[in-house]
Amino acid sequence: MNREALVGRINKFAGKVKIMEVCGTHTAAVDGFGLRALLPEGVSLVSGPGCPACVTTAEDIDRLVKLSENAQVWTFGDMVGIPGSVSSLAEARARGAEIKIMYSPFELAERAAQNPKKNFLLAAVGFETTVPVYASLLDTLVEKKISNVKIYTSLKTMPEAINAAAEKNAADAFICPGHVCAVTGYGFLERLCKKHKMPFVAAGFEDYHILAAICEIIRQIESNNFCVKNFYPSVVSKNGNETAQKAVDKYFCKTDAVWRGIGVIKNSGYALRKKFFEYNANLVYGKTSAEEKFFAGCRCAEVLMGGIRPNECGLFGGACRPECPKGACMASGEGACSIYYKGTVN
Amino acid sequence: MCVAQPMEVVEISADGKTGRARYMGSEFEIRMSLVAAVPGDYVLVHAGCAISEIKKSEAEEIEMILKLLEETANEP
Amino acid sequence: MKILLKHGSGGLETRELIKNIFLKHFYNKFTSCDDAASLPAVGTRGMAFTTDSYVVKPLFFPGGDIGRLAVCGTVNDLLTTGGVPMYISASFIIEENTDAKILDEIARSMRRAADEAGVSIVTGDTKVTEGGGEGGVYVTTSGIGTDGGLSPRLIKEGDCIITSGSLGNHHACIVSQRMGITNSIESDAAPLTGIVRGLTNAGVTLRAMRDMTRGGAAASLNELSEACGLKAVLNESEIPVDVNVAGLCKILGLDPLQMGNEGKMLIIVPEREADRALGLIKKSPCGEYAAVVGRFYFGGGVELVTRSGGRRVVPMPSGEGLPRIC
Repeated sequence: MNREALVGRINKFAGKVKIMEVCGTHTAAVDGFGLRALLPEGVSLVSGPGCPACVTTAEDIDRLVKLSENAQVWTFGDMVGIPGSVSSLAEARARGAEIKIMYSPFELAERAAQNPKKNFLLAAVGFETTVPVYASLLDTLVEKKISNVKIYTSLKTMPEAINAAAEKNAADAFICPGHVCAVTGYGFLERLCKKHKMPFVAAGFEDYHILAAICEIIRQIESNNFCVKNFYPSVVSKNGNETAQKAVDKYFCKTDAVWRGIGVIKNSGYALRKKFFEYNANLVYGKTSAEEKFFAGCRCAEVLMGGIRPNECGLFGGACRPECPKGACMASGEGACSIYYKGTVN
Repeated sequence: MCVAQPMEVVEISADGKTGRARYMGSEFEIRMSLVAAVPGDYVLVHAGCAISEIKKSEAEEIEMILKLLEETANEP
Repeated sequence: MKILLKHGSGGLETRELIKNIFLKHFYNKFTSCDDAASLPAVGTRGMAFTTDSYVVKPLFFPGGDIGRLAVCGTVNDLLTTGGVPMYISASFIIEENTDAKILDEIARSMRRAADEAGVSIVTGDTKVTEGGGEGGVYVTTSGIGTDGGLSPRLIKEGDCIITSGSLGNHHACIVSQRMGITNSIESDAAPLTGIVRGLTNAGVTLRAMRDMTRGGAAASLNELSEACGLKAVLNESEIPVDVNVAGLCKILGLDPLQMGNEGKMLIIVPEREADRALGLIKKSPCGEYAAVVGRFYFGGGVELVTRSGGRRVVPMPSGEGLPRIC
């Protein structure tokens, strides 16, 4: 792959385009490869709401902290520093809560089976990439009749979020999350493209995937002809992984979801189906409140929708730093503010 | 949090639900109930679970992307 | 035999434990069971003094164990001054119910590492605490040696950055062990006495050295940059990373620059000395994969020229990283 040729073509672009890369893993990849330094002035990349930890509400964190009083909580590492309204999971751990960081939730099933008298709680956060993994875990819990695991879900889906961003004119074009599309297929991008008439390119996470996607977006902007392209053909198909979709459908149903800083996005979340009430830790709480309190001056909401750059928030780099985050975008390793703070050479 | 990696399936259990996958010398157990794959196939592994089959090699994918770019550059 | 609280109470059982495990393995002409070890004077050179604690789990892993880490880590810290490490103290906090065989193995490993490094373990302490029932061992080593006078404040614009070998092996090994990932990755725990001796005996001008432990190359370079007031720029394509470590990093989303090492150093030399220094390091034990990976420039912070031809800042690592890798 001739990266220089792709960079060369991008740098011939004399216009302006604001491209939103929706997924936190894309934000991390753009930073990791140092790609911003290769782009011309007219091409700006902004991060979107595709960072699951960043869009988990303070209320969800508060509930997980409360649940940790009576159960060992298993979570992805990114979640431990996210601030609730009172504390984070890391702070709860310092006060004696059992918080276990996992790479994969399947070890939880084993541990729970070995310790039937102990209560376990899975903090099930993620997008369509991860929901099938939780469905697969539920297969095990049901099959092995493991009754001491409860699941607190804060699951969100991308199509409605990307739609919300496009409606807010957050960007002129979208680089779409390749691993989400591996599960869902890229078909939903065609509906979005028809509605919003802008480029939507599904991309993988290597540098050449992202550079090629930018090249294609520029080409579409220059020819004023917009469509969906799949630049991750090894993994993404139009219809996605139907086995995974069926597994998700067995255990979960679509629901409205509250995105931290953004508010309610209709039909953008998953909840456990009624049938699986015995695993559902959300039931005791009811719906997440759409009313949120933020640390005074926190502008995560605008960062998440590409409205401002992280360094345009007044708290950035001062009161809000990775070691003392005031909002989720700084607390999460894939958060736009955390990545921006750790630096990009311009 | 969408960190996922194409890996080679090296072993699969009799019921097809679990297996072992390998990438550049590291190998571990994965769930396989969401994909149809046999040893020698490549799958996308996320959080210890295969979530998609890999249909093409990286080299073939690069070729496809380049071709796509060329085709679209030549579109009227 | 299990270690119990009585073994840490300073009485008969403590004496037995010290005799049967620590003195058995550590004994040398300077070892003392007095309250302090008496050591001979060392010319008129200044002294270097360091201390480190080790809380790694698991205690034993491919390529090493907590005892080996404890000796090598302290030796390597002393070596960064460019001087000669000489004497080590070893303190143990042992959770009750630890099997004495584990302690014996750790002590044996420490003696082996000390002999490799050319240092003597001369004094120590033992405490036993209540534990969770599974046992556990924590080690603190302090070390003294001569001071070679190196310091980051000597670094000048144009100076070259050499790594003595590949990055991330130790951290990758511990992660793999903790997550049940099968691979051939081993900890790189080793004393780097041979590398430093090779350079100082040949009279190579050295500016500063850094033992790249927790936080990896990123932490060490940010510290050096801050201390000397210059900008470190690295070339990603020059940085040696073992293929299996690189693979693990891709699977888990880790960055080798932020991963701890237990047998790797950064060595900063003037540009004119870079080739000679590199040649000498490569001929020394543990140095065969050394490489010149970057340079210091006017400015501040640490930057990386990526394999893609892009550029990014290499920040000081923050957050939890992996718990207890050293």
